[in-house]
Amino acid sequence: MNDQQLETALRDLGGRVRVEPVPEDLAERVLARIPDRKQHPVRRFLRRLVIDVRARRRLIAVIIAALIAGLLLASPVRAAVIEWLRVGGIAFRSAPAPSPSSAGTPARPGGPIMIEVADVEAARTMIDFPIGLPAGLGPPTRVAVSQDRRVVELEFETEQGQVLLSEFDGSMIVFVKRNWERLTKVQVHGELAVWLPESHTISYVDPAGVEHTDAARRSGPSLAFETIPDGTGRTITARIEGDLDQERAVELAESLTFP
Amino acid sequence: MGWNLGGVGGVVGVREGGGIGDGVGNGGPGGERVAFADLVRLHAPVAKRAAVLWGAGAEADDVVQEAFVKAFRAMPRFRAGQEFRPWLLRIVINETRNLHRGRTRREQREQRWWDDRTVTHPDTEAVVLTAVSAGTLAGAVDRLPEPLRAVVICRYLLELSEAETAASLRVPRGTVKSRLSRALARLRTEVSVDE
Repeated sequence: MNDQQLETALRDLGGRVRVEPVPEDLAERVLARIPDRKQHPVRRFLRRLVIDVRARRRLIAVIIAALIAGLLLASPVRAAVIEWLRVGGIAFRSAPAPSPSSAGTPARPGGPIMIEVADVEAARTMIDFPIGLPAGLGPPTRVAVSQDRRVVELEFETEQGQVLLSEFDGSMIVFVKRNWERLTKVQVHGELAVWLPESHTISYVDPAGVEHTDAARRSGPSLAFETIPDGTGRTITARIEGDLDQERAVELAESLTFP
Repeated sequence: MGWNLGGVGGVVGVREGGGIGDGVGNGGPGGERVAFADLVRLHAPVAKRAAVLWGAGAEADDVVQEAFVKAFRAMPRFRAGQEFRPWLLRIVINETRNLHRGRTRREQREQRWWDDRTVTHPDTEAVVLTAVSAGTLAGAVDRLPEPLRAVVICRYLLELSEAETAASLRVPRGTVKSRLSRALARLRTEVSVDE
């Protein structure tokens, strides 16, 4: 038996070890045991620093303002979440969108304004990233480009129903997906992709960083993935949405070809 | 399931300035906790798998819960740019080791991660391409000295990368490499003797 066979046998062994799923309320149980902001080290520090309550409130307000302005370093929790909960230009949050009354930048209704164009060729003249097409779905029945020319949407009619493919340059966050119940990490061409099997809300993030949430707009099951067209060196983020299962969505994602 | 725990803050600009840093923010009260809940949901399955493979047995859920609580408390020491998963696994492994200290040898044996079901599952047996039975191999892995067993579990049973293995076990990458080749050599002799 050589090392390669042994390695295969060990991986196979790993796959056989059955591990029961974690309890559904694990996150809640963990949260119940960690201190909320009352015991937050920063607040404890402030309490020691400023005894006068009103002065302390003013100072807290200043610090919150500084946070909003992005002047303070990002928290490690946030950094870790971003590390894992981002696929190119799509961010994932299990929490609902912020209510418009909360402090900071209010979420505004509405997604990107989409303008329908004749075909994929027309779309290609309007945007500066390559557009990929999936195999086996035929030409799209509808092609649209967002008014800010950041997003392309292609619609396909299939026997199983409509499939929507959105593509965009993923160097900035363009969409935030929220209110999902389950999130599955999958692989598309060996790279991290995220499959959301249930419907969820999707918010659009404009170039100024303002999040636009349309309460009526919900995404169906969808796959978010990244792809690097040959020879371009650019990373395109894409999402496939439709009445698909995970395998079919991954298959379509891997079939994407660029001109 | 209710996801909205401890409130949700206002969004502090969602512009991503390249890399970690000024990212999607939950700036308001409780935002940190909500964000941490996301981390728990994402990493709990691999954390539990690690706990089981390190021998936590029926206590795997408790180990995972404890590990996340400790991870949250230790969050100020977590550096941006570091990877979260190996950092968390490090805590899970330590927690499981602490568990072993209070146990007898017999109890430890009962907490082993493989059993007869793993060994002789009829459906999966057919697809094994290798000459060694899972049971033989599992037993051999279990008999490895802890440092060697740890790299084998990380690298093959958890399928971590070499870098992730090094970070999870807090040893240099060179050590991972050398321990891995020693472990493989030992396993090879063990399974060929058993055959």
